[in-house]
Amino acid sequence: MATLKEVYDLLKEKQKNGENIGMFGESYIDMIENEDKKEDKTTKEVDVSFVKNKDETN
Amino acid sequence: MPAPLGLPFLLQAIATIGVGGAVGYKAQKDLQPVIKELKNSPEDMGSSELKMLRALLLPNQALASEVKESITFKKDNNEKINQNSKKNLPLNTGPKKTKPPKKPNQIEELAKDVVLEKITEKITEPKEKINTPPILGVSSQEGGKQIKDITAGISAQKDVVPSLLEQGKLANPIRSFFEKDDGVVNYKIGDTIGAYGGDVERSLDIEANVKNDFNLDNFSEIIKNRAKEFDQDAVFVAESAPYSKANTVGFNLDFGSNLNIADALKVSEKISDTVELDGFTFKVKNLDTSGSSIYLPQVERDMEMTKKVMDKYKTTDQINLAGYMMPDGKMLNFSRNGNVRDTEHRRIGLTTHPGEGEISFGPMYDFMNKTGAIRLAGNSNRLYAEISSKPSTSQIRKLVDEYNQNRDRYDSLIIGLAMPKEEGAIGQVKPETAIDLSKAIYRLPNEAFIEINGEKANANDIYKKFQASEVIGKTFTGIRQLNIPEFSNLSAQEAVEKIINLGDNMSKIIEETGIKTLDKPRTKSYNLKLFKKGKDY
Repeated sequence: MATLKEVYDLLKEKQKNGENIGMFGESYIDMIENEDKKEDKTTKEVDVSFVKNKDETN
Repeated sequence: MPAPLGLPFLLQAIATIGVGGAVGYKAQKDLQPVIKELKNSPEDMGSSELKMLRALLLPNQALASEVKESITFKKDNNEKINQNSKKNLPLNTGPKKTKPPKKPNQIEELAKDVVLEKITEKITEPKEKINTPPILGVSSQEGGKQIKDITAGISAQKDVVPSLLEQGKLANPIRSFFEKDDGVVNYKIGDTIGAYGGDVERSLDIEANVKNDFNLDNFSEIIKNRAKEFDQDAVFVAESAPYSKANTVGFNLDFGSNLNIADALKVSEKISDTVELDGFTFKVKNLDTSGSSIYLPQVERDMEMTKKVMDKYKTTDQINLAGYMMPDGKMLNFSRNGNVRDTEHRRIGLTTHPGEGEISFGPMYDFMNKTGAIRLAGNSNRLYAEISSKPSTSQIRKLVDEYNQNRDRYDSLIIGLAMPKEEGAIGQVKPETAIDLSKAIYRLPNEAFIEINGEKANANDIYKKFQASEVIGKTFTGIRQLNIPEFSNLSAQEAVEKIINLGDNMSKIIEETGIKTLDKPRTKSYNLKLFKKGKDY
């Protein structure tokens, strides 16, 4: 299974090769590379989603 | 060692079920014509039926703000005196969407999502006095630790649309947990109603900002219990985490446009379809700030009024004592006891509009509009500023400095926009109505135009967003979360392809619709836990 780091490595490689990695690819790289520079956050986010099986027969 | 991107259970679940707690329920028959009508004419958001529906569903932003406004802090931070009042029915923010990965073209979320905003300081009496549903929290911790905020989406729905009471029943234990847990900074629980494939669907979504030591396992037990009681097939909880400990990512992206809300909804549909193609799941939120006075011609500053208040009130350097901040950054002291702000903001009207009383909010907004003053509430763990005209760079800088230099005290910074809509209005407000802030009797609902939680604020970014609003427009559509369940089954290569495709597709949408991005996309990493019926509860 892929890890975030593996995805980063591949995106970075493409970027170095001059390939288009799109706005989200660039954002992804920023996230990884800037994490160490970031000041520690004092909070974190929690999201909850409830999932209901859709009754396909209806 | 990085955590695997594996979400095998999630992917499996997502493949067979809807996501976001909002999929596929039968509607009450008598609501179907309304939904059908809305589908045919989404701009008709102001129909009496929908208004009625909304009135039934939604607690009131304005009410919560009113409650907050009525709070007077006494000498001791822990002692608060509350007044209660309740007034008009809530105004909406834009719709919010949770997109299931299957059958995309069946899904239409036509009704606006209701963002219940709320506030809070610890109050006791208002809880009993207010005739609002239990979804809305109005409480806080002692010691000036303010809590609570709210946004929206859960589903407790089976054959009929759940009542507000049922929604409250579903949400109440969660709300109680949040309120009791000291690790919770603020939370949002929202009530969403939409049409999915012809069915009325109602759900709640939950978002919270919590301290880093918040115990997710304890919270998960509450969530699982709710899922079990309301027969949900699965539930997932995601917490933001460093990428090395995360197993999935989410993307945030804000758009701005001059579109009216109906057209903005169509753009949302396009975005969701685009993302759908990639099999991602996500939420879209629309924030319609078109009624806000920051878009109206700014009035010339009333220097006489400014002098009047500067003569009347002393200035202070302590934001927790201040009631207003003037455009030059000077703050008016609204504290008699010298410990906290203990004077109602509305009392400014006694100086600026003598003879008009101190109950109505009109003089207060008139003062803010004419002088450029910002209303401040900085005596809790949330630094809150309400604007009714564009803030000056001095004001933004001062707010940001105050927040950044007191991170041990503040957990969040919010700059809210007063939304001068007609009472109970759902649709866009005419300029002649919007501008008439001076006639506002009640505290106006407001939208969090800027919201920063737990991280450093950047004055330039905030300033840029206000600048962008001048150019780009009034309706903002934001992707707030973009889970990627496919990661669980994807190789790194496949994940990369998805991400690139998503960006390409989004670029096309931007080009086709003319919608503009307000900033670069932001990626966040999450640790996501999935709980399934029969296995985990």
